Amino acid sequence: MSSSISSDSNATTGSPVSSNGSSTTLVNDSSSANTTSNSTHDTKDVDALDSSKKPERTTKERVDSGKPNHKPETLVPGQNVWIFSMAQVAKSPSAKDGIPTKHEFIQRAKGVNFIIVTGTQLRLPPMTIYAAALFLHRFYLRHSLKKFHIYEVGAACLFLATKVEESNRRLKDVAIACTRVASKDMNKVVDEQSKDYWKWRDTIIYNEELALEALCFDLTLKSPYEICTELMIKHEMELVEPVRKAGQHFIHDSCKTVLGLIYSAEVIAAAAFYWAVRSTGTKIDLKPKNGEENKLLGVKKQHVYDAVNMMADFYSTLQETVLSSERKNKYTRMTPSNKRKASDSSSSTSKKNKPDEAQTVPV
Amino acid sequence: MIEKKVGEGTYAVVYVGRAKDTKRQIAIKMIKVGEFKDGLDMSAIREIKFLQELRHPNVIELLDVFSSETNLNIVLEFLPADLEVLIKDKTIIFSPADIKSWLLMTLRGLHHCHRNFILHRDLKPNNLLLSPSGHLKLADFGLARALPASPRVNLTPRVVTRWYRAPELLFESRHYTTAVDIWSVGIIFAELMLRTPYLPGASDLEQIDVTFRALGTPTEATWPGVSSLPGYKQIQNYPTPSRQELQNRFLAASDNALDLMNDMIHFDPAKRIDTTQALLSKYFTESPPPTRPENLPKKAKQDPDWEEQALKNEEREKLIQKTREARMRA
Repeated sequence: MSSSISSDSNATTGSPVSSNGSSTTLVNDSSSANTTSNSTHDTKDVDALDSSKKPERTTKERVDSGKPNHKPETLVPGQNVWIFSMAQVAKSPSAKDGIPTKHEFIQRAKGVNFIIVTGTQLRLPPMTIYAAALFLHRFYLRHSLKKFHIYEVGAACLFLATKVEESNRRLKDVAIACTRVASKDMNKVVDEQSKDYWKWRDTIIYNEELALEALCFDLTLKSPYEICTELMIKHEMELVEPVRKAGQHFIHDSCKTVLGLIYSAEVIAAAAFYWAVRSTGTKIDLKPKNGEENKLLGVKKQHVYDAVNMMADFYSTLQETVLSSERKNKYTRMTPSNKRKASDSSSSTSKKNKPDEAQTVPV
Repeated sequence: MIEKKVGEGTYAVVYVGRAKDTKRQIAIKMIKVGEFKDGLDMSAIREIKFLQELRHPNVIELLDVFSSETNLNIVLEFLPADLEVLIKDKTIIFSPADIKSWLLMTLRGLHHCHRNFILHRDLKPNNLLLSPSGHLKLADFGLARALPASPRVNLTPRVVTRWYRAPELLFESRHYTTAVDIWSVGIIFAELMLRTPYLPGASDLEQIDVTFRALGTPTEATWPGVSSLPGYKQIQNYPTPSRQELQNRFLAASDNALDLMNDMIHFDPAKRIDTTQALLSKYFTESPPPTRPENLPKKAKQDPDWEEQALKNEEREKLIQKTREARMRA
């Protein structure tokens, strides 16, 4: 079943779609970054963008020149300006400070993991956690890991997300949860007397404003969970438990990667749906309507495949890490869904091959 | 460039200034940071979040947000007057065309919010600001929130200023929709015609009484499901006012105006009309056409000083008391 993803993309991209004008640059960027673990720099359109060096006050001057169909400096209302190419993401402020991209991505994943564990402690809804994670990713497009500790920013992003997503938690509770998670002791007695509590509390307050500014006060996010649920309902899948869960897990796991910086919520939702359907072996007719041959589930087909491949990549590197290191690190948290997907599809080895196959096709 | 302080709220101080490049008058809301135990104030976050998304001639424009060392600053366009001031100022006469114009602009702004799935949740004359050119703009998004996608999400019923609170909120419903804003607009519409608050309840409990005394008590027949709302209270059964009674209450109102108002303050939120239907109402197409914004009545030239203002407030209080008494007798 797993090879179906690649074979499917084979079948479709082999025919007319292979390179349609506007999407090519983006696709090339991300896929090349995928294969060589992000070390390639497609410099031709990257230099135009330097998100880190923007003056702080320009909420309206964000330019996303990486997207070819996007004229710089003229913002179309409703367009997401927080979408970047992989090469742009790789040229982050942290990279400028000499941190290897690979290392930065690990740090990002750690930060998001911190958010997820803390958020779960606080019983936050998934979208709040997703928002916090996306805020974190966006923050590190504008600031360097060297200057801001990932956990501290993560805590502030989480607190901000509780407000933005209307699932308020008291600062005290957030600070306590952070203290517990940071000390890796969930039952630690934390109260207003402990030193760590005050440290966290002050950090959150201080970083909250900073994060708000780094995010250009842009707080409204589209929920991929919602869009994915809509897709499920549309295809009458919302009651099929494994499919629904696989989709949710996909989105849930995606926030550990920079997927949210590269693709819109719509693409991520479509990818999650596609993944869920394929990995559970569900038979479903996804044939596009006439005239929309290069589209899948309402978004560009290639984007969906690339997003799925990126996540497959992520899962397989994760699996390797887990297998190679016997110690139970925090990533074991993810293995249940990972294992399930691996067993649902044929095997992990064929899964690893899948992205390579798919990438050879569009070029 | 800051010129003067114009007001102070619980979480912010408002200054008037002038943009250096355009010489345009602006309002700067300086939000006190660090004084709250829960970090940045929720209403500030909401205001920033939603005004970033909304751009409409009838919604206040967010010009910039920036943070300084001690403050978070929201820069908004400066709007010198609000509808409440005009309603209070008895020297100004409202023509039916003026009322129509204001209502139209309110509904247009609200339609834009609702189209973007945003509930305002605090509509009242005080929050309908008027630009020097007469345009009305919705302001104060401190209570606004996104309409939840799932009906399972609980919303707090403790929103909207009491007099403009919809019945489902009075009964503490935790699941409401854009209809709560429509109710507020309906009440504002009535207030524009009466020139005095339509349903001025002195407390939350009295608000229920005042509302149903004026509009009749809802029953399961007129509002299915009302008795299962969490805050539902058995109250005295008031009769629904007849058409003639309403006509007497709003002497200057046309048939279509009364129809529109009735539709906007229908008890059952499911049957209350939405902004689209309201905007397509016959009221807006019948004569007289709405006044052009630039010809609408404006605030008297100079600011009435404090004493005068206080006096007027007192008069207003008396008037409100009178309406209340008159209704009790009726």
